[in-house]
Amino acid sequence: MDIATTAGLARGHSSGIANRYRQAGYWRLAIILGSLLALVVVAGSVAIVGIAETGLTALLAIVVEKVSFGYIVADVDPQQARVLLHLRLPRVVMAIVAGGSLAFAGVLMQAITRNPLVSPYTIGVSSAAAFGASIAIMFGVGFSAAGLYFVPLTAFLFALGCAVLVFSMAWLRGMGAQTMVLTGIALMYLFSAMTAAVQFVATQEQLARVVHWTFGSLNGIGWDAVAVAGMALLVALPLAQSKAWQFNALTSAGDDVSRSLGINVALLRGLAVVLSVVVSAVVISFTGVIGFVGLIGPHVARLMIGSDHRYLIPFSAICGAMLLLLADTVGRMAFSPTVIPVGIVVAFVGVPLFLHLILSRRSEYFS
Amino acid sequence: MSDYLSVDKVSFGYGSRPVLREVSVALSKGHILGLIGPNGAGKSTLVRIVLGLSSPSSGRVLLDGKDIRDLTPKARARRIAYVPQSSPLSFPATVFETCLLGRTPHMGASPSANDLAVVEELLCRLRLEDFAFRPMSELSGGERQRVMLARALAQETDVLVLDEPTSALDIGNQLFTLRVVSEIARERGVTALVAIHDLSLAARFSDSLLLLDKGVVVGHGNWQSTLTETTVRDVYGVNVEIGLLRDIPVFAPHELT
Repeated sequence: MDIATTAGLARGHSSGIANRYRQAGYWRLAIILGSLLALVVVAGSVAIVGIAETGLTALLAIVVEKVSFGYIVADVDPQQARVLLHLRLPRVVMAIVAGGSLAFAGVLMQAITRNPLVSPYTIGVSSAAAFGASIAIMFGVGFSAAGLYFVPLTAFLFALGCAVLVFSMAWLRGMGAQTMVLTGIALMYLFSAMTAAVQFVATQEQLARVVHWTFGSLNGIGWDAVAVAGMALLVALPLAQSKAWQFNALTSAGDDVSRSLGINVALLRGLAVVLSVVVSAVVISFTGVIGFVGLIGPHVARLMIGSDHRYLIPFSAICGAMLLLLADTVGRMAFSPTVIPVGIVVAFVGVPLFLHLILSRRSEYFS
Repeated sequence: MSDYLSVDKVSFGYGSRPVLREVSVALSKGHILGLIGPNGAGKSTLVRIVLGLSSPSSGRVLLDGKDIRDLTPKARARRIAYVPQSSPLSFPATVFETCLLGRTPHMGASPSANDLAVVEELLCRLRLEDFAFRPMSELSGGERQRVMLARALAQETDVLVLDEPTSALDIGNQLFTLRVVSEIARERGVTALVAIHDLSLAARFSDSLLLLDKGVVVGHGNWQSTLTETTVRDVYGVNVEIGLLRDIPVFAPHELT
């Protein structure tokens, strides 16, 4: 190697690489906008397919009526309107919100642990929520003032409790990435074991409900769930986005260098845990455990758009939303009128996709 | 000679085990200090303390007369930059993106045109322009080390702290890395603290050496006075021949004591 002096390059020496970087940024922005548009189109298309006949004009008329707060009245067959407004639309919107939230939580958790295998599932949140839902189904129903919301509420509280445990363990050990992952995995096993233990004493009917819950499904999702989960995501996304550059430092430079760049790593990790846990716990509490979206959404996104979190965070959410929306549509249509829970379909769609990623990607990405 | 960066009676310990004991050293602007000593002597701990990553149990680090712990993290990041030994590769960013992180303490939410220009210039200077859009994971160890140096230089600080920047490099890359550091130190008046194992490179590229053994300063000064056959034998437990080959100091270990 030639080791002659490196001095003497004049300031302003241009090789065009700054321009190339800028152009890559525009491309990524275009990809995000394009995929958002695609998501809207797909959502509209899948909302009008199903057992009951509905049409695009009816859908558009209803959306216009709702968006204009009833100012423009839709002239739609009431049967169609009911199907669209109370079955299809909340389901489609929830698929988007849930998929987006889970992938969003996944990308944050992967960033703060620098571990591509981490998702809301690995960190114990899902298992804790499942355990909470199980005991609510087993022991609680009918005794609570919270009534209808008793199961999701208990699930949510257990998920938060699990996160607090993980968080405090990590905090005791200086907010390190390793502690977080190991504690999360340990708690995941613990909660799974406790759920299994509870199932021993369950009646047939309770058992069916618990099992159904652990598969994750969008059946019977109403606008209330959409509103709560949607609000959580709408608050969390901009907050995380404002720290996107710091996530870049944390993932690609490590803790020490990030701190030497002036970043408060412990604070950033704390914020990311809170945001990702709340957002994923809210979704899981309503839908049940939907695995894999939180893992695969960020990977698909990273593959297409790179690892700059300014683009990766929103794009992961879009990819997760698209994935869950398509999976749920497949689940609704494949063996119609039987609806397969989306949690199952996601695994069937996602695993081959994931294996393909592993095989096609350069090896060090997953090593 | 005014002291720009000074380590003032710094001690550090894990529990009851002392790692550093009353270490003091003062550097003027543009000075390169080679930090040497056997494994476990406390070099990395001193590096972390100067960076503000660890707090000393007693003593302080002064930058231009101010305790570095009184600076905000961002203000400190504008004054002191860090070149680590290695970088995580779990989510490989591109070379350009990695280098651009060095601009973090100078920018808001996104890099400005000036930030991009600084990075572009540095990548050219460190001969990385052809790799600019490759992921870090596809680079050789030497190229990766140059990227981390470029990232630290992009911070445009007046202190540079390097933790064994050459230990994983071939001799060509070792020389290249240290030459860039010494050129930058001359050009911009950057003060550098380099923890380094290779005695020959340390002697050659440092203005002075600080020899640590079991957390205590056992030698400080130019290389001829710090690294004698006696001190090397006492500290490293190795008998060495020290000589000059075409003005380059050479240390040839021949026997363990």
